[in-house]
Amino acid sequence: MRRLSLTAWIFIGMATGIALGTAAPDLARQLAPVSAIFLRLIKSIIAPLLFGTLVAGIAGSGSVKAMGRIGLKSIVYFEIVTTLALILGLTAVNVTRPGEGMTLERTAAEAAVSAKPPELAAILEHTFPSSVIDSMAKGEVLQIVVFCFLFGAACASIGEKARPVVEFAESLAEIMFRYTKYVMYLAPIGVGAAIAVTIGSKGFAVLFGLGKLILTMYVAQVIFVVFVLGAVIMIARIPLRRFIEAVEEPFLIAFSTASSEAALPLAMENMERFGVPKHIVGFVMPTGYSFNLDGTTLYLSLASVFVAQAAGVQLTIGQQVIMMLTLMLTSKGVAGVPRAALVILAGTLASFQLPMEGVAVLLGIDAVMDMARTSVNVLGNCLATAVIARWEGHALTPQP
Amino acid sequence: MTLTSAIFLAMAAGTALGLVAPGFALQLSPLTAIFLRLVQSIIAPLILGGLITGIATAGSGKAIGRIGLKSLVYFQIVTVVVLLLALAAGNLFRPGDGLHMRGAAAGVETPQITWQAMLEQSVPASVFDAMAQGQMLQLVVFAALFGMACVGVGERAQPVVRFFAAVNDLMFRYTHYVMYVAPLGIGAAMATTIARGGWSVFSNFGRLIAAEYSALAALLLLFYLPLMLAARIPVLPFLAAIREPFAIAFATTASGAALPVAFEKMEAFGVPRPVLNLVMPLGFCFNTAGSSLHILLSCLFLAQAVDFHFDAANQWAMFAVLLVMTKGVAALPRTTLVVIIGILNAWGVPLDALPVLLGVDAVLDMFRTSVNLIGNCLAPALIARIEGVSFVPALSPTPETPAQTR
Repeated sequence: MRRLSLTAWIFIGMATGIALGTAAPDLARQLAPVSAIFLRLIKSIIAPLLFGTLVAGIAGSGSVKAMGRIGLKSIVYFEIVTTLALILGLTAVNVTRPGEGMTLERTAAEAAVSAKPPELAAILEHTFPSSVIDSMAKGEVLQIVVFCFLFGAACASIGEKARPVVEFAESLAEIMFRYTKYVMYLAPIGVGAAIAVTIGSKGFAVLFGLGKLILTMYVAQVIFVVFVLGAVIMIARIPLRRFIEAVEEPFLIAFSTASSEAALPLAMENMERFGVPKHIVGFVMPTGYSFNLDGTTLYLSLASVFVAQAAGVQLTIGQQVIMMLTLMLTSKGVAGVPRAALVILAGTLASFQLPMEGVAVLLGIDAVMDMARTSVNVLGNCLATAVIARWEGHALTPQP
Repeated sequence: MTLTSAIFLAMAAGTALGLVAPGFALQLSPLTAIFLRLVQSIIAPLILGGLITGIATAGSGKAIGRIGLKSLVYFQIVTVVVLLLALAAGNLFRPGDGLHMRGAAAGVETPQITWQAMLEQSVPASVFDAMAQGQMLQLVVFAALFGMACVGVGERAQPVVRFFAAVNDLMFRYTHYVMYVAPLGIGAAMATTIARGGWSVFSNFGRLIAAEYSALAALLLLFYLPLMLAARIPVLPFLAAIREPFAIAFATTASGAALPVAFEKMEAFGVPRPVLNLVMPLGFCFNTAGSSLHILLSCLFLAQAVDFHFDAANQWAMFAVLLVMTKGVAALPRTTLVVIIGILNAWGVPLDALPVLLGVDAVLDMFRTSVNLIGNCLAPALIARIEGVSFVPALSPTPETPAQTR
């Protein structure tokens, strides 16, 4: 156990899961509680970890002004990167045209359509906590961030009298990282079970049914990672090898569980060790989960045009762009929930009078698509913390 | 007048009131509810503070592991004993024979909780959610991981550990204050129970009640008592110490309601806080002797009531399954029922007699909860003895420490 790294064990877990899902799908489906327990344990980390890191980080960074600057830089960076992801998705789907020549079955669409996308005003309201304990109980990441931001700023301005609370937060952050480490011992099992359940209930057939769409999606994601994120790494002069080492574990966990929340604690810990200051990780990472969903943005642009193509509806570039902007707005603030992107997509398509049958088709392969977009989301967020740290002039020296 | 005597006086008064003026007595239920709400507000911070402090300050993981392991082994022994008693009682009294209830009742409510869900619900998705909903097992899991993480972090975990140690102390004092309301709450609970006329079921299902009460009594007299004598735990001081928690458990049938004051009393009895903080919450989740007994006996009763014959082999199979399945029944509300239904479904026994069981349950529940409580007070004392603590009666001549007599 000691000899192999956690990453190696996660790979072994994934391979075992795939084998089990293929060989004994019935048994594999029974493993759902195992992956659920793992995911629940990870979710239990998030609220205390965010509180500890953010309050200690912001109170320690000393100035509210600095945090405002970081927030502004983050938003600028998020918008640039997600726009690039969106353009890439549109280009890819218009080049390969995976939806053409498909016949859509007119059944089973209702299930996917029933949920409406939330309105902008409601999303905005939902960002602000009315009780932080309630936010923590429900795992509302953005609300926790807003509360901790204000709370940490208050600590910073009170100064000496806030010492006990800030020390508590520092200590809590440290403890929760250790807690994460313990929970991660379960990762190979949890991840293997998650994969086994997916394969066991969907089968490998899902991979071939819509091969062209899946291939387009995966190639586009790879292109995005290599060329866009790669370029960002070059420009910001981030040490590539160490960055890859830092993100491989969170990336794998996100990929196999299709839940970006599952990867959050480990991603935060690894980025801190990578050398990103605590207050930047604590702020940029969770807000990125709402505003910097690179993989999801790419997927949404690709999928919506795919549906139009499959339905035989011709969209002009102008129409496509307007639809994209709508998707970008509606998709904020719903990260962390597996399959949430699909609900957003269904609602948006409906408002553009596009047929829902396409969504049913997408639902069938969503598990496979979700893995790709979630892992790219996590990758993009890890990078965002490093970029902002560089932008703020930090050297990214490794922490013990 | 001491608090304990006030509580017993209130129980007597409540019983009298329920008999004399049932209409008025029924109006008193808010008093019970208020008391129970106050007590329940103690549990989450008390458990969290206690377990985290207990694990974090025990110094070495070894000591915790040893105490935890000993507790779990002991709980498993108790489970074997109670299940044997239940088997014996079910076959001696045959409480369901002659009822012939097959087809008697349709539309039995089946809880929507599956085993998978129960398993998943044993770990927390958010500790704040677990606290808000009073999910004990989730709290225990979180606190155990968190406490171990504190040990792992070491010196830099001190601010958090000190915080939880303070919470632990504070909640003991908080409990003390809440207990001043106990006589009112308990008296009201007795009055409403009596006024609801729960006692008429005695005549109808006397054999079931007799079976369960005798089995529970056998557990107390033939297992717990000899165990105490063998471990040299002073019996009378122990009984004195558990009087108050016993009264609360009996009157309110709320497992958990008696927990805070049981903590307080067992500490006064001489069980060291580290042992108490670990064993008590574990026992609350895994040492529900009364409930385990009730589960097996109910399964036998329900089968007998629909003339379903369990041969010896199947009874032992059920016994084996329940050795595991009775663990963690305190994790979710109504889980005893889930386990009973799960077992009967597994053996294909019709559930026709279930409504009857639910009707008698109020009466059975009082004794069952009290026995759970006694077992949970005994366990920390016993583990403390095994760990080498001796209870010198002179140290706690009466359960009333000076602070409690006012």
